[in-house]
Amino acid sequence: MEDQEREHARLRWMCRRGMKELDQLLLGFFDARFARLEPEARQCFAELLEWQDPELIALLFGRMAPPDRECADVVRQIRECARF
Amino acid sequence: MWYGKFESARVFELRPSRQLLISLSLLYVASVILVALMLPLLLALPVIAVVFWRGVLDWRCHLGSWRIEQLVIGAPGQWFVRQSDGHWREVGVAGGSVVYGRLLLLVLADEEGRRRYLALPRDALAADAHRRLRVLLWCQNASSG
Repeated sequence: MEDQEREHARLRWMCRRGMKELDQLLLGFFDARFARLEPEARQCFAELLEWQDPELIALLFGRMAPPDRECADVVRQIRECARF
Repeated sequence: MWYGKFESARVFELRPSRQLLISLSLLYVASVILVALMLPLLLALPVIAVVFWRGVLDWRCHLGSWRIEQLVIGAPGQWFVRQSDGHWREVGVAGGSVVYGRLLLLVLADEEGRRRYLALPRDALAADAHRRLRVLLWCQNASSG
């Protein structure tokens, strides 16, 4: 349980980026939806957080195609969360 | 407020933009000077009158009674605007809207198909609200392909 909480805190910390736009997008998604995600989607989100800011921006704002279907679904959910 | 019926309505308070006022004033003054310098007086006068009329309309839209004071996004695709004269309109964001870091240029279309441009430089909104609206529009554009 403690490990899970630590992992949550680590991921939330990783949602803090150099660009405030990304902070808003990732933190908003993390707080609103992360807990309800399937384990595969959580894993995919955690992998996305390892990406560099410019790549993440390109991916989230539609200038780069998601690498796989799972990732595409997470990206879609992040965008949905920003819209509502 | 009536938009409380939406679970999580996003409300953006818009303020008159000094940047927009200065840019539009410079644009119109430069237009009048150019027309006056390049055209003979008889031709220049009607053109200046048209430019002046356009300027008055722009002034009303951006600073006068037609100015949009509040933008409410009730749900995805459900946008409402309140003008300075108190009128509410439901609008949609039409194609051709431009989202830059420092400027949002939205093309809003109402139910009757009338289009209206809404220019939002940085000083038209609180910094955080400008960022939230920018991210929302970027995501909306990315989702719509």
